[in-house]
Amino acid sequence: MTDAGPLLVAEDLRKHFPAKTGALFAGHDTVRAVDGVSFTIERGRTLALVGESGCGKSTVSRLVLRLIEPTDGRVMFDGRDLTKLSAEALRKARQDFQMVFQDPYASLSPRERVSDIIAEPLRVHNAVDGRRAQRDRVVELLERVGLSAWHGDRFPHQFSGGQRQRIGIARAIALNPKLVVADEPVSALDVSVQSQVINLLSDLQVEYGIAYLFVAHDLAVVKHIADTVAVMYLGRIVEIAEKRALFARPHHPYTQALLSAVPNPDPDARRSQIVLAGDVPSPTRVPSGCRFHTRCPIAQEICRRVDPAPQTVADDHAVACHFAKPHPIPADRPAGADRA
Amino acid sequence: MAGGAEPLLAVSGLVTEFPARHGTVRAVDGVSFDLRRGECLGIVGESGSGKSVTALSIMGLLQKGNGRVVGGQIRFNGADLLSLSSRDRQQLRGADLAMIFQEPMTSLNPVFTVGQQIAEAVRIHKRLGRTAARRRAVEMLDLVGIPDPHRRVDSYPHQLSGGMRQRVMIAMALSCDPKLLIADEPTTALDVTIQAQILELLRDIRKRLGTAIIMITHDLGVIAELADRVIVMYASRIVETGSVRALFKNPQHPYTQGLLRSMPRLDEDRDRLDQIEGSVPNPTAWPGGCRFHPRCGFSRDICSSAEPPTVRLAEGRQSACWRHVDYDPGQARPNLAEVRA
Repeated sequence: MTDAGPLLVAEDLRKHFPAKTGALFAGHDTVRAVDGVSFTIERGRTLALVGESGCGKSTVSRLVLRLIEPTDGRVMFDGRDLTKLSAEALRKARQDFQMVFQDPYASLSPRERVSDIIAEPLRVHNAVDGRRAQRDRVVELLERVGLSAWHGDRFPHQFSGGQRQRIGIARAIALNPKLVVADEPVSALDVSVQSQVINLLSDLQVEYGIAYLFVAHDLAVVKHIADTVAVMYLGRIVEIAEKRALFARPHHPYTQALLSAVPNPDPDARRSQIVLAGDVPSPTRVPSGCRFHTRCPIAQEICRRVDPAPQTVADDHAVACHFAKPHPIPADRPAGADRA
Repeated sequence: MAGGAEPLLAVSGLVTEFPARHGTVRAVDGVSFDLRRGECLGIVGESGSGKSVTALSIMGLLQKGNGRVVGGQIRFNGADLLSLSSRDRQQLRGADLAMIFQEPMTSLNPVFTVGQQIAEAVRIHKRLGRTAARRRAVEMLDLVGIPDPHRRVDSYPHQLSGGMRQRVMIAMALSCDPKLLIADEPTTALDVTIQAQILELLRDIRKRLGTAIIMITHDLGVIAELADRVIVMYASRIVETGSVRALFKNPQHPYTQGLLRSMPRLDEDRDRLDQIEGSVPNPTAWPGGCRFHPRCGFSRDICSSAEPPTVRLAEGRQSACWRHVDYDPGQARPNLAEVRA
């Protein structure tokens, strides 16, 4: 095992899906769900992928786990190219990366007892010797995620949404993975339960040194849990930075709009200052030049023609925009401040 | 009541029940509140809190043989809604009372153009002719910010994006100049940049038309952006009411406090979120006494045995918690008449 270097490096990942268009005289278009995405996840750290529906963030999470095959690009995990592994080698490698899903109702088999659900990865990978060791490990996992040993005898429908997500997390960490990919793990949960699950994920990271790829649309949740944040728009990362830098000095106009659109639960706060016009274009018809130019408040002529390359604006801070400039959003958004 | 005028809507002691496998489930249990003309009231709560059922009870949209209002009174614009015939209620609905929902696609008819659907409402309620109704539909689409309304009026719902469909729903709801618009999680299914557009539209409509709005949501941020006053519901009851500013700055009920503190926020940096332990109770088995007591850090003996009184606090605020009552453990029950005064 190489323990030096980053845990995961995604290099120029692409995933194009064929799409039927037209009802009668069908033509074929290509959906460029992911169109050249690169990032690095350090050991024990969290990278968050944020963006709106259709930006490709969930597709990236599936590419990273090789649940789907990339059209192009590669994923280096722990020094090995996952995209080149044989089926058998990939199956073995999967011990080290697991997934937590958005919908804890749909991702747990309704006919299996919770202890069997959690034991499944242990069985598949022959991770423990004997039934007794397996049972002990399941109890340990249940207790680690805040449930009790007796919960193991129950079925998923007997649990609340938050408890089901805990079960999903117990299953994901059963094999001591190095990476957990969590796709919107708290967005289906009630507000009062979200924070429990977020805190649990943080605790597990500290305790076991797990790295997370955290896919989310909720920027407030991301701000809380991430070390690095990548903002996606139409299949591309438009800005990637260390969390504090991204939230304090977003450079890309899309990041700025996204941040200012989040409703602030402070009634004295300044109201949304950048309201973007229009909708996200279809990924079958990606705009020319900069993909964001059709909605961008500062677009110029060049943006329609030239696709901006990512440029480094500070340490660990890259932006793909011709006119990127820092736009500080005051932390407290004081009352009475003018609209920009 | 500020101003002394009769409120547009007065709900008192509302109780709504649903049939369950054994007996009934109370989804709304003794909910009372007023709404002034032109006011925007937020109702916030988690799943199963009764916020949507409260709205459906006001609208008279509970399905027959399913949910039923079994107690209380709803007065709207001078009329006692619960004593009206279903015909009269239908007259009111769509005209003076309108509602929009979370998923616009399920509330729009896929085989009619959006123009036909808006026109239908105004032809029924405003008795307009075909041409005038179409003109009204275009005017409404323009009002809600749909570009190129003359062309869009002939679009079918599937040809529009989620944000555009929600605008169409709002256009339809406002087409007969309602006095009250109830919006049930209208932005929950939308992306955050589209949510911002819809919230701006609702703010603009209030300013231009003076329509009263009840905004139902789980998102405290949405309430802070839009509402004047807020009701916090938990397990079928109102736990706290107040102006948005007062309630967010200085929440009184332990549930409201916990909710605000457990939210991750963009304007804060914290290593660890506060959390409310446990989970939202099941409507078939509400906890006795205060329904929040199993999850409450301030819980005392009385909280599990007796329902807390709704205590009037300064600035027109109310909170249903035993902490507001000078409770002497030697005395079996405090003097509630005094407390409520």
